Amino acid sequence: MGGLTELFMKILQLLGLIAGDVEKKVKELQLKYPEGDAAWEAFLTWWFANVTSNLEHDVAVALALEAWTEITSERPGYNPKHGGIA
Amino acid sequence: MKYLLALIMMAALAAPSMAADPPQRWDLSRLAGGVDAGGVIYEQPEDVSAVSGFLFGSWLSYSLSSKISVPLTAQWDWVTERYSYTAGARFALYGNRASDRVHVGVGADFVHYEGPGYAGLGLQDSWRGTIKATWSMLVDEGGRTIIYLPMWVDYDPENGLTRYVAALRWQVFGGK
Repeated sequence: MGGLTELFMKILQLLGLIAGDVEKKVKELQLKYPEGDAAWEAFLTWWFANVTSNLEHDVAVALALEAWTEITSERPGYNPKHGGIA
Repeated sequence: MKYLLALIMMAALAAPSMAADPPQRWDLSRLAGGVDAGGVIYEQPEDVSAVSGFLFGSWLSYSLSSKISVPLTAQWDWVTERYSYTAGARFALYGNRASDRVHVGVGADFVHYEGPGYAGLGLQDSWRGTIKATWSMLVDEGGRTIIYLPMWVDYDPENGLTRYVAALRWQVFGGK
């Protein structure tokens, strides 16, 4: 899992996956299709069928908020430092 | 005073840990509270010299959005026996990200004065505008500020009263 960032692992968790599932699938397809592009194409097919198709509204929102928070360090709609100016 | 302290304790017990999930619109994790202490200088146009004192305070604040929060405060100056209680709103001008260490905000409060030190004051119930600059002095590993160092000026135009305050603020709960 060395190549997966913390954010990406959180995204996978929100999608009901664990990072190991994805890596396992990648390796499985690489063995099945030694030619790299074919493995990538197969991976994309699996990804679209098993990951993004499962996105529900709440999950998508949670995912967007998580990504926003990680990237901007802001929590949308909330000021964690409001106590300082109370 | 007792009620505000009790409210702070209840909120601290009710929200022992603040989840990392984005808070709902009405959620205890948006509430923060604590106590503070600091020096204050009072100025009124008719005063020959400014009066100084030492404030103890408790506060509760609810973050409505990334910029707007609504605080309740109670402050007691035992030196001059001036007590004030406020309810108001704040607008964050700067420093509303978890990683920020400097925070600036402006606001307005309804204020109620009590105590012998305010005996000559025209209106016991009034309002005041305030500008605050705060430094997150002590921050834990999760980015939550534990100690703030706020400095502010507030002005009550009805009574012509200005206060200059520098304080140390302990955030007992919230702000995660």
